[in-house]
Amino acid sequence: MAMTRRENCLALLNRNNPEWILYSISYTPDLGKRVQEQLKVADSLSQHGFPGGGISAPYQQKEFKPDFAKYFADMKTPEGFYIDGWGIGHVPSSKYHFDKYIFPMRNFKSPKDVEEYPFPPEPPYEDEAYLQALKKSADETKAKDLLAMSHTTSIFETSWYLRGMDNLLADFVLNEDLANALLDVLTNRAIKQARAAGIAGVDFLGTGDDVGMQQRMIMSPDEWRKWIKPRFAKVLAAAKEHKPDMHVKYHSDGFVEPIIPDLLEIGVTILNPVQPECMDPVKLKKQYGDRLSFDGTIGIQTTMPFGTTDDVKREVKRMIETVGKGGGLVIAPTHVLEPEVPVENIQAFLEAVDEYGHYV
Amino acid sequence: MADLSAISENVVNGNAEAVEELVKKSLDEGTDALTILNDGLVKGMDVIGEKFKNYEVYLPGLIVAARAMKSGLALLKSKLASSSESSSVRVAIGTVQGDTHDIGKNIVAAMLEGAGFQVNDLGYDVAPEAFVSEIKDGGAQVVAMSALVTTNMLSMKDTVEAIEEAGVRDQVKIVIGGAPVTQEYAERIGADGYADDAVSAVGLVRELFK
Repeated sequence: MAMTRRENCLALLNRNNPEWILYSISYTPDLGKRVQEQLKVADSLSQHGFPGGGISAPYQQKEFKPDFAKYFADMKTPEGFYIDGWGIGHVPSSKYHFDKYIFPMRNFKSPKDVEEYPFPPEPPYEDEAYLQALKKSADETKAKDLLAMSHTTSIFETSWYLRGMDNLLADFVLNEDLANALLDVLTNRAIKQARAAGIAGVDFLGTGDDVGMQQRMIMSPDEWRKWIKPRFAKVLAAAKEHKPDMHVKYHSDGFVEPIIPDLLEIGVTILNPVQPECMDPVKLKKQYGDRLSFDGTIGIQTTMPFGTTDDVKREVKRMIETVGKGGGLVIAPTHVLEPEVPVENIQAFLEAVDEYGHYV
Repeated sequence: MADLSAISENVVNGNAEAVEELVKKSLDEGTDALTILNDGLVKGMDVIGEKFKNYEVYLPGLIVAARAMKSGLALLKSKLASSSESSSVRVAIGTVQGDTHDIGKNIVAAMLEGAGFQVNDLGYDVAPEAFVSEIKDGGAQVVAMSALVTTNMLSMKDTVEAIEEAGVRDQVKIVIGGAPVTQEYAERIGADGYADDAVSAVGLVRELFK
């Protein structure tokens, strides 16, 4: 009997005899435009798209007009400079979509500075009517044969967008109070988001932090266990208290092999993006494939920009046959695709998903 | 006698205040700035680099050590500039045109400085012409380039070509790094070397000027 899209997706994520593979893909703006003009997509591919839908509920936005400019008063702001809703300064690069961040907390000295910072207001997570509206939104999403999805703010990553990565890492050694104060602000926000997602009954929570570099972690596995793990554990517990079987996708670029057992322990069920240049997805499937599903695995530093169309097809087939064996794989390029990726390679990726992505 | 090994130890521990104090004391006692640099600060950075290689420290440890080293180096700079012996290799470093990712580049710059090289950090989104003029007018002997995104690896190639076209290729060693960059790419674009992390970058530049 043919599965619905939602049934197949859950079977795939649970490694429980799905009927077909799922994929996802995204483009940077310049490439996206060319993709829209040039890509030919077969109708048969439509069932392979990830059937997810975000949830939302309206609420009265609190007025928020902070004086972020004062955090940049000591510098000459470069051309094109602007400040985003979190107070982070952006300087657009000379090419494409890349921005340089200027960190509003770069000169902070103490936890008090963090406490006084105007963080953007949050939705009314204590308001029962708001939570019920979220639940209604989740129910409606499921009724459309989709997975209800939500996400939480990153903890380490958003913290360093505000403080600067080198400053925050130095704080781990020299100014623990400041690091704790800042990470706690983001953790508490994430806990509230996760709890609301749990109450709403979402199927799938996206979370994570970039803590990997190419061949090693940014911080040591033990530093991660001290600074980050307990915080994520609280976030995931808040979600799973209300929805124990919720899928949790954890995102970190780069090499994070040493902490995979920790991620499983705190309730992560899907690892993203598993960059094949940094970790071997096939090896990880052998090691953890009974407990962990994977999302990604097609290299954006190798195959997608520099491979031939045959290379792309071969790699998609190989990953589906190995990492996707029995389910447990959402196949995807390991990051948003950059402008130099040939549209032909994207075409090849989609054709291969269509061609090799059937279990029955 | 100034305790240069204490300077090294405090660099390793990331204790900037102690480094500053000890460097001041050493200078007051008449120790030569270049000796303090080489036997105190650089030695400490070599120790931390080794610990990084051995996975005993990660970026947090590396960054606080580099900051401690810098606070000591700041006290030595004016004296080193006037010293005839300090003809150390000049490095121009930057994240290449189009790319704004500079965390890795900053760490490499600090490590090279901590190894005793004279580092001029050109920042991020650096145009090929800016590297060229660093060679022509700034006397740079090394151009060190970083890119995080594959798109911008092409700017490395453009920069090598600009250096060749300017006729100054033989005056300079070109080294590259960054997450997607490889040894093979370095060879393909005609760079002199590639390093996969900040500590290896120090080893690479030292090797090129042995």
